[in-house]
Amino acid sequence: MARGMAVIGSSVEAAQAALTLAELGIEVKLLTPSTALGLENPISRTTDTSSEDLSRIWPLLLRTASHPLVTVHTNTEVRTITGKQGKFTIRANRNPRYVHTDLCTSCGRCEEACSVKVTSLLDGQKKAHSAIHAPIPSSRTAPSAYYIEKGAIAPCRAACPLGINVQGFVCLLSKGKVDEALGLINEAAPLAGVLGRVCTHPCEDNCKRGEVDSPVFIRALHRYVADHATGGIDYRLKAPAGSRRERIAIVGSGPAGLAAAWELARRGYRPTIFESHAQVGGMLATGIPRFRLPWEVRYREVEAIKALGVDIMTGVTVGRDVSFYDLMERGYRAFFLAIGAHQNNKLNIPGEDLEGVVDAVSLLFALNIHVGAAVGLNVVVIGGGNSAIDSARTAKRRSKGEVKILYRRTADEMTAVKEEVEETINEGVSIEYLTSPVEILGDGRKVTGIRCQRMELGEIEADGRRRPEPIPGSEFTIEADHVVIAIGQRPNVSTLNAKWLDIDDATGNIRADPLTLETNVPGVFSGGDCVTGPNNVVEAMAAGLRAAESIDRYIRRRDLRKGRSLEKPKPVDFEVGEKDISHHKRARMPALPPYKRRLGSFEEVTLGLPADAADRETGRCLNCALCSECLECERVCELGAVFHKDNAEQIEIGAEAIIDFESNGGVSESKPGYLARDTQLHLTKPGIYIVQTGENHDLERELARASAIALEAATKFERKEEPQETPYIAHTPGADLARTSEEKELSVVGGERIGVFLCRCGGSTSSVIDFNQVINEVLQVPGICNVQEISQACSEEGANWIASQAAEWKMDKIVLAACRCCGLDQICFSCTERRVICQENLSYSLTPLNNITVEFVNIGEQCAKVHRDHPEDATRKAVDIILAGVARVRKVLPSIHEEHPVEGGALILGAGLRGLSAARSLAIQGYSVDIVSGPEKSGGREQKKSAYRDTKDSLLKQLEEQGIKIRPWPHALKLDGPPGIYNAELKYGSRTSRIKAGTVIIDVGEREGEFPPDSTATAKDNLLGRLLAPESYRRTTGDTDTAKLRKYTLKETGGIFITSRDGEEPPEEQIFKGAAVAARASAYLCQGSVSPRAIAVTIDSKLCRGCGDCAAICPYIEMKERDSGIACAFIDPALCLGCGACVARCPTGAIAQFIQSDEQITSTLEALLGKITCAAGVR
Amino acid sequence: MSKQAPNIVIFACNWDGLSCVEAASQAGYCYPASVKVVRVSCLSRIHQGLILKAFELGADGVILLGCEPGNCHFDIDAGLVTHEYENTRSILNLLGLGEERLVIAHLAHGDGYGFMKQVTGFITEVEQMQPAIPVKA
Amino acid sequence: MFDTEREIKDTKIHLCLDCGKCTVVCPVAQYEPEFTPRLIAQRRLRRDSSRPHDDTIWSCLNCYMCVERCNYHVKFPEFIQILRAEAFSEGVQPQCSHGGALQSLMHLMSLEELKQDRMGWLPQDIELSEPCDTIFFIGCAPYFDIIFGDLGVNTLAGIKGALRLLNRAQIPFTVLDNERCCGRDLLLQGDREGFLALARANMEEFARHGIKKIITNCPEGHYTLKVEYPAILGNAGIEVMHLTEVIAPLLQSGEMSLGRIEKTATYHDPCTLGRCSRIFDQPRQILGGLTGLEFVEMEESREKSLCCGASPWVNCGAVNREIQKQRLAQAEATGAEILVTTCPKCQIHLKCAQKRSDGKAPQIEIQDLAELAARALD
Repeated sequence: MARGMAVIGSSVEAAQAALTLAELGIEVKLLTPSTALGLENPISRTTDTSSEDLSRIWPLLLRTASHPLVTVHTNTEVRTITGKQGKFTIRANRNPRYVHTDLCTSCGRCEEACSVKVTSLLDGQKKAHSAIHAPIPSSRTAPSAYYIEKGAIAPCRAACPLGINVQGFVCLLSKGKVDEALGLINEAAPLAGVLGRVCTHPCEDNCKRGEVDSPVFIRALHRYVADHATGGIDYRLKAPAGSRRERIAIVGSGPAGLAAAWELARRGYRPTIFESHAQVGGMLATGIPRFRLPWEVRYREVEAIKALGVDIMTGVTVGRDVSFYDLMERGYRAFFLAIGAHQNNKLNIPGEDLEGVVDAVSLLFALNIHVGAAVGLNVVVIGGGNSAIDSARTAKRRSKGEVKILYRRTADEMTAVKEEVEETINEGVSIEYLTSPVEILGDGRKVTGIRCQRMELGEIEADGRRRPEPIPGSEFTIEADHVVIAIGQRPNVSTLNAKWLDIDDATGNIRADPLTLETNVPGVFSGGDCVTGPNNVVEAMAAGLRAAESIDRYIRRRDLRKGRSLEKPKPVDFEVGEKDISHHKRARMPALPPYKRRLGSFEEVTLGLPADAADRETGRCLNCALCSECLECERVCELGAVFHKDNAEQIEIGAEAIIDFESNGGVSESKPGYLARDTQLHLTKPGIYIVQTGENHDLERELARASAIALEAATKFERKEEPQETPYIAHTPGADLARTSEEKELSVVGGERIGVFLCRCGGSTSSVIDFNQVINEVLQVPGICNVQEISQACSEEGANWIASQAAEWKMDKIVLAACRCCGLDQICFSCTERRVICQENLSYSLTPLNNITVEFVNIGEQCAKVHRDHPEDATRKAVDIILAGVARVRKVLPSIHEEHPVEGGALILGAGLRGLSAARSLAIQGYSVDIVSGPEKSGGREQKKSAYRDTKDSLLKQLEEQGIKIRPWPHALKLDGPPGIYNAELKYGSRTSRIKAGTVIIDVGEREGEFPPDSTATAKDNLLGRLLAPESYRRTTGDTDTAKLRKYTLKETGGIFITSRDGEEPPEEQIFKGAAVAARASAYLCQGSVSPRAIAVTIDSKLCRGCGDCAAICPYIEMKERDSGIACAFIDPALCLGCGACVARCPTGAIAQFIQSDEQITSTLEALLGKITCAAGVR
Repeated sequence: MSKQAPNIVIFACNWDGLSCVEAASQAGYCYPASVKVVRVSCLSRIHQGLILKAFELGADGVILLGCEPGNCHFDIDAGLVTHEYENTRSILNLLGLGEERLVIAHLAHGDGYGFMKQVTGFITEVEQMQPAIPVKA
Repeated sequence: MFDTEREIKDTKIHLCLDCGKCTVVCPVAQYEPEFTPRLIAQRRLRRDSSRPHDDTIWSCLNCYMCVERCNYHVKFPEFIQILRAEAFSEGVQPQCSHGGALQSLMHLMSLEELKQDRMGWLPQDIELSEPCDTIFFIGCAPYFDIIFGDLGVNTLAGIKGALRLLNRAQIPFTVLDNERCCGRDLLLQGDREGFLALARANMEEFARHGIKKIITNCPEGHYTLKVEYPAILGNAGIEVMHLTEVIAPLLQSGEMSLGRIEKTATYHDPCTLGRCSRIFDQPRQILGGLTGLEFVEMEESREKSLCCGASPWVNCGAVNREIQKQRLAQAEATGAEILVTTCPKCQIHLKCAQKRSDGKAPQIEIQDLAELAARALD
């Protein structure tokens, strides 16, 4: 599996090294822990270079990332390297990115949809951006794919027994997406309206906002979502309904049973719930009063669960009306016992049997269900839990007299929900704390009062509360005609008639495995209050969900335990201090005024938050977990590029040799040899090159060093095949598809068939531009045979689709309106990864057809994005832009670009350190090398520092060992011939020698005469002379930083490399730069053949007047004499860089660029200025 | 064309010039759709004929957007463009249209903000110019 | 808009005997064998509408040499103009020189509401009579001097000279600050619509100012205003004269005299002034009025004068350069120090031909007649 080399690192140098290798024909895997190339530290997002530098080297990063021989592994941390040279195995962790790098077009729709704003330090400035964002927000990177910044999960979510994504739904609500918020809640659990009212909200208890002022009012928001969602309840199925045939019986329709049924139904089962009461909901129906949980809320949500395919049989008591045996006979394969705890605990004091003494469950049941039940005038409720509070409040609504609560501890110890206790007091119920009944008094038949005693709090008990202890002699008596005992319940398992079931004798609870909820009988599961004793709704529902999971596993015969744990997820570490915090205080829940809660009224007390309060409340969320996993990004991404389920994984990568820019320590041994010493290149063992990162060196030097190292490594690399057999073939640009002039003429005469494709770019362009209108208008243009919309032009499918449509519609020309702006095979500062990929895929797909001209226009960045505020204008302009493309594609001139071979070795002119270093590097690679150099000036040597002399002598010696001699500078030196097969003519007196070279390296860096400056004057009539006398051309010297970096970032070469003059440069620096030039020269030589750029010029000799204006500005243009004596300009197109300056200077129009003719530019202007209208066609 | 927004043609060189246009887009700026960008390989590709053509076709103003001197991708002397620029400005003056309708901007590469400043400033200036370029029917 | 077949008939092209005399005298045919007037005529007259346009039509210089030689005086240049207009209306365009700058300029100049600001060069000492129904038509010189500044062209010097001559001759005149290009180049190139727009704009301007008489220095402006405008827009009763027609008689009659210039000079007849407008003697009379000036004729002069290789700013290539080279050689052969002409375009073209990367071109001084004559005024 080991093929090619691996480069480890995220720095620019690593990218340069990888590119150098790739251009030498070596397959490269580039492993970076970062999210994109060139960013050193993704966590703090500080870059190793300034952002200005980063954008300057952008083409380099892009060329690296898009080189067909380079595979970039982002988010990848190397763990171990094993094996030996030629057969290394790298094991690495690939960290989740949550975005498919090959699908994401960085169109930005997810960013718009993202509800979380994160503040990061970027370039020293605090900037807000979304949780899903480009590796550097609002900047270009390669790869360009977005990624999601995730912390662990938020504390609220971690605390929720149901695992509801609290931050997520709050986020969605903050963007006004109520339906989406409900959808997200319902991903985790049903019964949102119930939970939003009666949940004991552990989320709020863990909310980090509580550390600032008070927690976010999550329950109220939960309720807001349930009450205001307009789309109805839409529980999403995980498997098709009815896809599982196995029958499951659920005993009890309380929160546990309903949750279990809901989850099972979502998994494709059709469970049956058996409920002994007529009402569905268990405690939700019988225990919780209607003024807290209106029936309609429960009814609506139960109906939604039924709609999933849950059968509910009411009035059926399992064990009495139907036995387990019967059910098994009927095919029920599994059981979930969720019978709750409905049997009241006794006080075990005298008088409990008196008439008028009732338990809370019966009272609540009676008052909730039977509207007419009577209540006394002096009601005393004993207990401090929720059922006591509910009993008191319910009784208050029915009693014309007093309602009082006796509780043996203080308010702090009450287990009832605080808000409810407050409401209870508001409603006129009095609470006697630290009071415990001793005896219930009666007249023998009916209750008349209670003898109580005062308590005080003593030691802390096992449950963490202080034990109440009676105060001796504190007894007193209160009057009562109705006593409600609400000191807790236990399950009533007797009705089940299941002797085989293991029951805890002390509590009466069913014994079940805490994790799997399986009882002692396989296939029988139990959860909720009947297992835990009286608990709350949310825990009961959690048990139901857990049971559903177990039952599903049980039925599928899977391990019940594997991968499950009762451990709560670890919430994110979160420093509140980092956040910008909204100043709003926690909202108050509006409630019915007390006068409305009068006798007999069971109207809901709390009214729910109004919209503005809910909105403010959402803003209080601190977004502790960064990404809230609201999944909006996944939803809006038309391309399916976002996937939150991405997981870290271990990967193995094979490599024959490794260059490592990441590890700075652990250097055990130095590699002997010259380059190694000067490049700080170290080998831990053969085949692994460890590069120490330089400190504060300038970028040019670092790049040169990276090139030098890569070349060195490549030299040692044993290629499986000869590089000539696997040349890197430059992609044929779409617009450069050669056609003969006859074919061209035919198509013009025979009528054109132009196809136009509009890229939706995953919806980012189509959401601004009205594609229908564009299509309608463009279709009216004569010659347009079809206009089609595609989702993503830069994907392989997109390219294939275009190709197939082109064939089907017999298109001879195509205009692709996407994000690409030119059809050139060049990577400029404005180019992006997607544009390169688009070009590559399309050239590949269209290759078999080969006679289709493609013109690209940008309707993304240059239209939809910058005119998004004015969609109509953007649509208008998109039409104009496309028409400009149509006009241009009509006028593409036939190109006559022919390939010619690159042959031979290197000719090096000038034996400075750079020249010699380049010569050595090329010679080591096996290329033939010729060096021509003038004599050193007398005395020059002595002026040099000894370091220079030593270095030079060492290099000369090494070259001599290779058998390379330095030829003296000739009397006349002429360089001619087409690029790649240059011919040098050296005249020594009467003797002439000729050197053929594929590449020429000119070292003009030496001051003392290795390169005789006067000799250039004699050679002005040939290419060499023109190249070396740039002063005579209207060209700048190219000494700026950009100019220096340009040679690393852009692939612009005709095979001639000039290393520029520099001032005092340490010898080792010159060595790198020489080697870096050699790397570029090698890459040029290893291409095998070259063809001119699509943008190269041609000169029409008939129109050329021979004025020489073009030759005055371009060294590649030569003025040749014709027979008539009039000069004529000539250029080898393979040398032309395509600037077009000569075209603009030519007075007669004799010079033409195939794809940038005056005519094409004029057509562009006409279209953009609205002079080409659809209806009238092209003028 | 409509009177409300002047037609601005920007001849942007493929290198630093276009990078400013793209950077503005990347940074999330918006500008009027009446601003039209024409991409060329290098600003030295542009000559008087093309600039005048833009005016002939209804441009109210033209910006030549290129690299900072010394940063030309092709090492072309900025003087070549300046020459065309100055000649064309003289012609615009003779025509009575005003030399201010043509500006040249050398922006550092990737300067989206600079580009926006240039464009919005130029639009304001062209809007204030009287008379506007009369449009042929 | 126009009746092509009728126009073709008017050129008498059907009288062509296929004798080939035109080709013999045609300067283009001399260097470009594919260019033969009679074959162009044949191809067009037997034209099959499906065939592409004849692209040799763009090489004709409109020098009228063929008309001069033709026994039937077939108006071949006009025939070519019709073919070009035909091609142009179908979207075929020639290769514009100078990047089409001159064409755009001409189109811009035809904008109705244009308010040019083109009189900045006017010297203080020139006396304009206002109001006056005679104007001096300046032409495109202010624009030429910017566009062709690199060639060292100074066509305004000719204009200034002309104005000084008129002042000296005490001929009252004024100038219009918003005159447009005469449009001849658009007409010759086939862009009739563009030409018409300019012609209309100019005629409106003349009418607004009540112009009765126009004096020009530019031979093209002279011919266009005098012949083409009335032909297309009807006779407006405006008298159009070339400067030489105004000055020469005054010199002949002794009403005006010029000073001394100790130079040898030769005169290049612009085709439009000579063969079109038949003004051969007047320029020579003016040169003759210069004391001390030795005048020598070139090998080909007057009716046989070789064209400057000009074109309506289209398709100006190697052939044109050859013709120009030949003309410059003829001038050099006379031993003259100055090559005098009256046409700014001749000046531009010949100066362009003098520019050569190796500097070997004949460097004879080229001057406008009016400029030279005005030099002798003081």
